Parts: sequence; C-alpha cells; structure tokens
Amino acid sequence: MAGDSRPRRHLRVVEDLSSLEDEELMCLHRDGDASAFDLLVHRHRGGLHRYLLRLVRDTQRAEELVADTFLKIHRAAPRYQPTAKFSTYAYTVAYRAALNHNARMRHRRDFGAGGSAELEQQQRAEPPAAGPAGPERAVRLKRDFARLEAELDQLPEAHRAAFLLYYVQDMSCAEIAETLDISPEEAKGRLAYARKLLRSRMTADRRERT
Amino acid sequence: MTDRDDREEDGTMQDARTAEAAMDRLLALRDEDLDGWEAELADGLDPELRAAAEAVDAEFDALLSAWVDAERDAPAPELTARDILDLDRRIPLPTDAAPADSDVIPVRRRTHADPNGLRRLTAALVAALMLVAVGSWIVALQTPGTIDPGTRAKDLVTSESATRLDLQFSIERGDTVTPGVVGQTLGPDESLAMRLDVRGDGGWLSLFEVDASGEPRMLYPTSGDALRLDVGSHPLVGSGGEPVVYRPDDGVTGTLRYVALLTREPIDPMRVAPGVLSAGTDRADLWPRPVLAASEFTVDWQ
Repeated sequence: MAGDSRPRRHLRVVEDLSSLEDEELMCLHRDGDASAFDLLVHRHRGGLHRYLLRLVRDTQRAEELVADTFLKIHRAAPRYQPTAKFSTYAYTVAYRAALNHNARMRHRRDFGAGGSAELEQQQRAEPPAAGPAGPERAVRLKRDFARLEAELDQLPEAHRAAFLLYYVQDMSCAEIAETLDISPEEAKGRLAYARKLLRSRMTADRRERT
Repeated sequence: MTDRDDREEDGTMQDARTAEAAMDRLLALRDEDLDGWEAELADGLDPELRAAAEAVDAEFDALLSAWVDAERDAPAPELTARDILDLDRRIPLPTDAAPADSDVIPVRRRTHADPNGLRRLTAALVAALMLVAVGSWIVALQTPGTIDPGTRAKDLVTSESATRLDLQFSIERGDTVTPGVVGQTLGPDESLAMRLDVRGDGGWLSLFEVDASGEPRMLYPTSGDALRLDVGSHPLVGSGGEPVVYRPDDGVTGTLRYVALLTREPIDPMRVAPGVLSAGTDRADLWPRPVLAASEFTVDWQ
C-alpha cells in the first residue's frame, strides 16, 4: 500500500516470540504486545540482577533495581527506537539506577556497615562442582570466589561495571562504551586496570596462603 | 649523568610503560577487541616477559572463568512483565521523570525513595556552613582581572560547551580579607569567602567539598535544590541572600578540594557528584552531559 508508511512489523503475525531478537520484542512491546515484554524480562532479569548485585552489594536492593530498570524501560517504550542493542540500553538504565542508589547510600554514611557485609554473608546455595580433585578443591575454589568478590567490591564502581559487563555479560568494548557512556578507549583502559589489579591481589593472596 | 643520558633513560622508561600497558590490554581483552596497534605492540614484547605475564594471568583466568560460570548459574529473581505492569499502575510517574533513553538519569523525588537522606545532609551542612552576615567588603572579592595568576582556580570546560565557570576565593580573617592562593594553608581562625564568575551561558550551580578519599560533600545549595546562576559574578550567599563565609566542621583538617559545577538543567546534585568527582575533574569528557562547566581549587586546613 503506497500510502501506508507504517513499519511492516505492525502487521506481522508472530507465532514464536522466542525466535525474535530483543529489539524486535521491544518493538512488539511498544506496539502493545505484553507477552513480548514478558519474554524480555525473562531473558534479562538474571543478568541484570547479577550485574546490579555486584554494583550495589545488596540482594534486596538489586532485585528492586531490576524491577525499577524494567519499569523505566516499560515507561520509555512508546519512544523506543531500535537504534542500538537492547542489552546495552537495558544495562545503561541499570547502571544509572545503581549509581543513583550508591550515591544515596554513600551519603547516608551507612554503606560500609550494610551492603558490603550483607553480600559477604550471602552464601551460594552450593559450592561449585567438586570435580575429580574432590571436596578440597571445591572448598578452595569457594574461598577464592569469596576473595575475588571482596576484591571486586573494592574496585571503583566505574571499573567494576566495565569488568562485569565484559566478563560476565560478554559485552564487547564498543558495547560497554555505549552502555557506560564512555569512549571505547576508556572502556579498554578500565578493563585492563581492573583485571591487572584483581590479578595482582589474587596472586598476592595465594602467595600469602602458601 | 648528562641530559642525553636522562633523555635515554626517560625514553627507556616510557617504552617499558608502553610495553606494560600493551601487555595489560593483551591479557584483559579478547582478540576481537584488540586494535591493530595493540596487537603490534604485543607482538613486539620481550617473549620471556610476555610468557611470564601470561603464566601468571593463566591462573587468574581459570579462577575468573569458574567464577563467571558460577555467577551465570545463580538463580534469577522471580520477576515477570505482570509485576512490572503492576508497579506501573501503583507507582505514579514522578514529575521529574526523564525518559530512560535520555541523557538525564531519572531520579526519584526524595519523598519517594529517600525522604531523609538529603534532609540529614542539609542539616549537617547548615551546621557546617557558617552563615556569617558580613559587610559588603567581604563579598567585594577580587575581580577576575586582579587575581594573581598563581591563585586562579582550575577552570574546566567540557568539550561541548562554551560556558565557563570560575570559582574564586578569598581568605577572611577577622577584619582582614586577602586573596586566596590555591593550595594555601588556612588556620583555625580563617574562613573562605567564595565568588562564582559565569561566562557564556548561565546554568545551575552546585558546590562540593571533596576530601582526600574522594568523598564529595554537598555544600551548596543547602536546600538540595539547584540554584540558577546567570552570566555574571555572584558571591556565595546563604538562604536569605546574605553573603557567607565557610570553614569545615571543627576538627576537620587536611587538604580539601572545592568543586563548583554548572549544569545545563536543574538536576539532583548528588546524582552528578559521584561520577564527576570520582572520574576526576580533569576528565571533563567523561562527565554526564548536563554538566556545562566546573571550576575547583584546593586548600589545606590546619
């Protein structure tokens, strides 16, 4: 229809949403398809929760911020344009929410007593699979994980965010740059710095123990 | 040692730093994220040095991989689109809400999320800020043209803005006012009087005190709401419009930095402060876009 300039996706009948990319789902949600949004929430709630948990160091707050992130995305949906990957968009919103939260906590002056301790006390349901080396390895690995997480918590949040996006969320440097609103070069610098620092501290820790 | 020796030594150190930086990137980044020059630099590294660094990193890499796997296996929160839509119905859209895809980080109004945070802060700051009504001679600080070059505060401008901000200061001691010098040591009977000079375009002011650990403390405005400054020269005034002088709480000593930010729009200063101040005001290119300009100086309190 020559006079119809609306995008074709308005007319599209989708039977299997799971085959669609995030950006397509977001467009469907924008156009009123609630099931598309449900799938987006399902796809990203875990990743966003891990990311926010490591940034704010409080399980309950992280869950609230995940909900807050999706709420903002939902409310901004009418203006959504698929100009970038949905994941970078979602993690941008989440990062900003975490920064706001951390700023508020810092100025309440009770940050050290609350969030960090809460995360340190958080126990994984089970230690990682013991593997052929047996339970001793699992115990050692669990201890190393706790140490790594403590060191990660010590990183500046800007470096921590880049580190998590790269290694846990598998984003590229370009995507991290977009998410954190920095240059790709800055993203690389943060990653190199964060990894070097964590490596040196973990290596020193192991040497002390041996 | 001759100058030439010095230069050669400097060059060698520079090469070593470059090689180390290249190695750090090589170890941290996936191949697809390495630029050509980074790969070339890495190729040019001493093979023994590179092998040793890779061996150390391999152990860390194994740990990191195992940790990432465990992270990804962690249970996700039980959250559905229905929960979000329910929240959408229950939580009214804040009047200061900004679209999630804008430059503005949406911040809930204090009445929603943090009814006490800024209020407590404000109370502390009001206590800290000595609202001393002084004569006009206090606020007649030196004009920009009369400031000794060595006393000028650092003026920082973002690349996208022609707006300039100059945070000037003087030292008030009894009946005497003298021009401030960056890095000056101030005694227990001295206070700061500040003036802001805005050029280009006006904007919204916030003023922070930053301690040695980088912790920002909002000094101004004490109400928590940003203050509009038009082009011109403005003394720092109290809530009643009276000129004020400042010194930190009793017992606070050491080097403190004073940073003034001018933003394009009225924003929650506490939103901008952590990012801007932790990134360092030297990195204006990393600031949030609402920040138009900043100016800072440092003094040492005894």
